[in-house]
Amino acid sequence: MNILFYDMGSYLYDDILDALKSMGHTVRTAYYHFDNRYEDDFFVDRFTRKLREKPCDIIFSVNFFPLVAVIAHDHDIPYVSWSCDSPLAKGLEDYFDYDTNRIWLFDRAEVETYHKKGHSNVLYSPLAVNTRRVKKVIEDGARSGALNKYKADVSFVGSLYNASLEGLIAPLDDYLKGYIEGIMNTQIEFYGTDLLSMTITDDILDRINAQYAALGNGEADTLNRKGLAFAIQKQITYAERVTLIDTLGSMCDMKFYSTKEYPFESNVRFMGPVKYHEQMPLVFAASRLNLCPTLRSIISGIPLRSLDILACDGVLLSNWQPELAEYFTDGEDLIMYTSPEDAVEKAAWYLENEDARARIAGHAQPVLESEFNYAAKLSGILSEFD
Amino acid sequence: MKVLMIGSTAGKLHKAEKEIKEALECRGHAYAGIYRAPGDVRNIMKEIREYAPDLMITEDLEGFEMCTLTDAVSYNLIHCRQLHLLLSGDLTNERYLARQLSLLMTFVCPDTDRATALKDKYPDIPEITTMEKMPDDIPDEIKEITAFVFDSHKYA
Repeated sequence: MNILFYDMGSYLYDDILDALKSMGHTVRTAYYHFDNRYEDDFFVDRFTRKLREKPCDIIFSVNFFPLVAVIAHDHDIPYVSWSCDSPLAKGLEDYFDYDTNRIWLFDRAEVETYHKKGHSNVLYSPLAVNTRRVKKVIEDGARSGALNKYKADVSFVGSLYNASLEGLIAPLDDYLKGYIEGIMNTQIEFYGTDLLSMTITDDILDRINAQYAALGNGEADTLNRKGLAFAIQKQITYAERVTLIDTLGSMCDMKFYSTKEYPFESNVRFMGPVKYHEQMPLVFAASRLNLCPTLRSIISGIPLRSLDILACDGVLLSNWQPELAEYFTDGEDLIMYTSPEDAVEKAAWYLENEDARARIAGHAQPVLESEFNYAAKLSGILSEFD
Repeated sequence: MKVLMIGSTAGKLHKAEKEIKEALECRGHAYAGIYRAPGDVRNIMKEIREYAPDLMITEDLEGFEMCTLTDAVSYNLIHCRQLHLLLSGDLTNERYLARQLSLLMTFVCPDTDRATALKDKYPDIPEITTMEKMPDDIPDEIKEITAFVFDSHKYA
């Protein structure tokens, strides 16, 4: 097929491009970084021109872009998107209904939410990982000695999701503040279940927005269920990540790779950011444990970072997550915890029991090869158009 | 219009900077230039962002070695029209033409043969042309500035 692959700088781009080409597709690419994803005359003009230059059977992108959906619909060309982020932004839903759209998401729970709303063109596919690419990076790193630089007991690569919830609830009355803190504290205890969509009721949202309105805030500041839930989910993620990193930092050699430093109380070593393709595989391969608490807006799905760690034969220390538990075996392929206390206990045990830890490293490879390889996943996603 | 020019201090463009600046300012445009010495690979993204140009013009892919954490060319993140003048036959940063490049970028060559050769070699280059064949959707004002810069380069 002739595929026009639009991208805005995603982690998956190179691996998907390689896979599509190796599957025999002819792929043209277009890159553009949006300032405003909903309105951009320049993009519409240039992308349309690109589309018309040569035959195109399908437009593909990593994540869903509303203007691409509009252009694809205008030209009656199927638009296939595969999202590596979850949840999708609220405004995107207004563009879902074009019959040319096929919107693939990796979080089954999120897909079910959209199905309940009648969006039948939202589909489920877990993400994939290129094990061959990362292995080559690790082999090269071992040969050059670069791997040694990344040795650690535990590493964490990513963002802390510095929270915005405080700002949102600051103007609210004590009842609403208490209610939001209450549902947050309840959700903290449960992995793999979305309690927030049930507990953020219309009545609560009306009360919040009435109080915002009384303060003279414009319509732009109106809060919806998804917005409030996401703020709470980020707050939980932030609290969990900070607590775990800090606690592990007091127990062992803990390295924190991120773009922004954080004032941890313990001896966490801030290492700055790492390059996704060149350096991150070395971190995962050289660390005895790789901490990866899921961003809590991902209800059931397997985050890309978890697959990245497993692909590097890294030992993944993750919260219990429904789809991780579905594909992988706890204690054999990875380590899953059910609370921060459980995480700390398990980390300490595996750091003291090297043989048990080493048995886990690499054990997930057969599952990754069979269930999470790009060619297989993309074949499934594109099978409708063969 | 705020015009930002990026090049090397060893480049011919730098030698014509005074004339370019005067000519642009004469036409009511604001001018800024960032020129690095050969071998200087300091990251200039902060300076570019702070200036927030409406038009960015580079000479011989100066700065294309600056990359993001996913190894994408950093200029992709600059949201303004970009004209990249490929004047030298020997481009140190030529390999970056194989990377993802923003639709905001137009690459301008001295002649059609060079433009065709590069397009054949890097088919995903968003737009590669000659000064004479600049795309219709590039505003005349931008073409005028580019033509001036191009001529300055030719005679510098």
